[in-house]
Amino acid sequence: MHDAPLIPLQPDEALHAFMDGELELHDEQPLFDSLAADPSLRSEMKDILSIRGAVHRDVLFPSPAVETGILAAAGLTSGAAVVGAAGAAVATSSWFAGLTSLAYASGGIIVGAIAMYFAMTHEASNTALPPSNMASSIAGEPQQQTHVTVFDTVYIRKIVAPTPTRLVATNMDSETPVSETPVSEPPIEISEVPHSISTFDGLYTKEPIQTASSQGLLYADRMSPMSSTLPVMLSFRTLASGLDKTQPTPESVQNTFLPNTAFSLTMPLSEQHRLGVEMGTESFSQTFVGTDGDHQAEWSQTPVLFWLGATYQFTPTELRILPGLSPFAQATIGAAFSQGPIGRATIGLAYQPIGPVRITLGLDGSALFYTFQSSWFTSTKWGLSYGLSIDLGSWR
Amino acid sequence: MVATGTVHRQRKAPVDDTPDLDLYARLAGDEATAQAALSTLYRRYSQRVYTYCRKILGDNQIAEDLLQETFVRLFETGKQGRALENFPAYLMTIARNHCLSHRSRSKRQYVEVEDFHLVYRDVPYEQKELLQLIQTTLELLPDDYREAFVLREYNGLSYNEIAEIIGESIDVVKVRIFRAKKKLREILAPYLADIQSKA
Repeated sequence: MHDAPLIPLQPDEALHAFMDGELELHDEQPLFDSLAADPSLRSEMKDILSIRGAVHRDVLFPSPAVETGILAAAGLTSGAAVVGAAGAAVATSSWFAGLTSLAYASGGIIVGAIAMYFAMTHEASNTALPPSNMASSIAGEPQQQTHVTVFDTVYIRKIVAPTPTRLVATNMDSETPVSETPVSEPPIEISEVPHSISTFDGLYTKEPIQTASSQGLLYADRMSPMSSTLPVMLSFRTLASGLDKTQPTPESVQNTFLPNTAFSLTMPLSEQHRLGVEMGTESFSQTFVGTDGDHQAEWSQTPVLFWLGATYQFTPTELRILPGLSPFAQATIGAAFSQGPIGRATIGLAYQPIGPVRITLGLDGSALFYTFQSSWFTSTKWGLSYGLSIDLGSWR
Repeated sequence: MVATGTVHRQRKAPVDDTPDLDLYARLAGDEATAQAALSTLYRRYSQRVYTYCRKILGDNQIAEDLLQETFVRLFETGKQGRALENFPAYLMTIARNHCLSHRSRSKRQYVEVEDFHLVYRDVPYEQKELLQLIQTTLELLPDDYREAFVLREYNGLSYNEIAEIIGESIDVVKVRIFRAKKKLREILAPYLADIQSKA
């Protein structure tokens, strides 16, 4: 109020103007007199102070990704930085937040398709090598060549029926060559096979065939991963939430479909080692400091991040506790979208009693690395992880 | 399972006391100069602009989008070498125009309250509750009153600056702020009496 009001100020108007630093000097004394005489005015002043105190504590900050998004949109970054910043900008947009679930599913489909393609082409390379007739049969065409020429490499796969009386052998496409001399697919006599065979067994094996009962192992334990037609394991697991249970669940977590979960696709390197890709959505409580204008400030947030990375699993079968029950360890290294690198490690137990389904329970720890105003910060958490896997390689 | 944050390197950034208008003028310079100037201006004013958008529109994501649009627009005008007299007022005017434009495009009524996405630490529970009540009450105010209150209380602008931003007289600003506070107090009165009696 830079001009003298035409109408005299009411005491409450003067009070508000005074508390906003906008009251003219000549209006102050009447206000003080009113305050001294009017309890309700004093009460109003207390209320205003309470509201103001609360408002001044209500400090809101945008997420750090916005700045990079602005620089990218302004064309002030180049190369990979633009890509990263553009991604960050996209990540902060509202429409993207709504499509996170869809992107998650699409990512899974793409990764799955790549893994499937890899698995299928890996299998095709085996079949394509020696017998040309296999290639034609794969293509669905009539098999033209019915005999093996001289010096052709012949692969033998023994197929053992559930009962000894139905035991047969055929010229197939796997395993090591057994002969480089003319071979005319001699049928394997029953006498060549140990008489102990009595159950479904011996797939793809060139070793002396042993039964499950003779080894004391379950079917799933004995499966050689490398022998699978589709040696892919699809896994789903929950991750440590890192949330303080005594505090309300952040809305960002509440609004996320399947928060703190991960999917993975792994291929076997050997019986004990698997390598693959894993992705997930995960909440990280972040606390970081920086400068806001000309003063230091501290921020705290719990964003739900989408991440993607490479994962490695180790299952020491020699440490098997019970049939189908083994310890395992898993490590994943990747990157959280618009944030930074992420790493996680899990140790626990895996139980695969029979068939392709495997259940895991482990202790999960993870760390997120991120930058804010040129400083690096980490957010770490740990907790229990529950998982369910389907070993497509043992599903036939 | 409580997450912990660890500060690896806490660097105290030197305070850049370059005047706003000088920084604004540098936006027309080369890329490195413009980027440094824009970053400095962003750090000075992003919280203010974001708070305004957030309180006016009530949505965190939209507020961040409009914050981004505001600073991109600022950069574009700076690149053109446009002369300014009052940088904060100009910046808030851009933000306000974006908010008004967004609100006119969207018929949505925003009733969302604090979403915990970015809350300040060490706020006592009672204060958080009061903050939520204030936010909810703000949503009940007419847009003009809410805007004046936010610019005054959250952004700390004077009546004169607010008048410049919203294009109204100081008397209008004064009345809007006064009525907004009166309405807030009226709605919050029972709660305020309760916490004052506890104190």
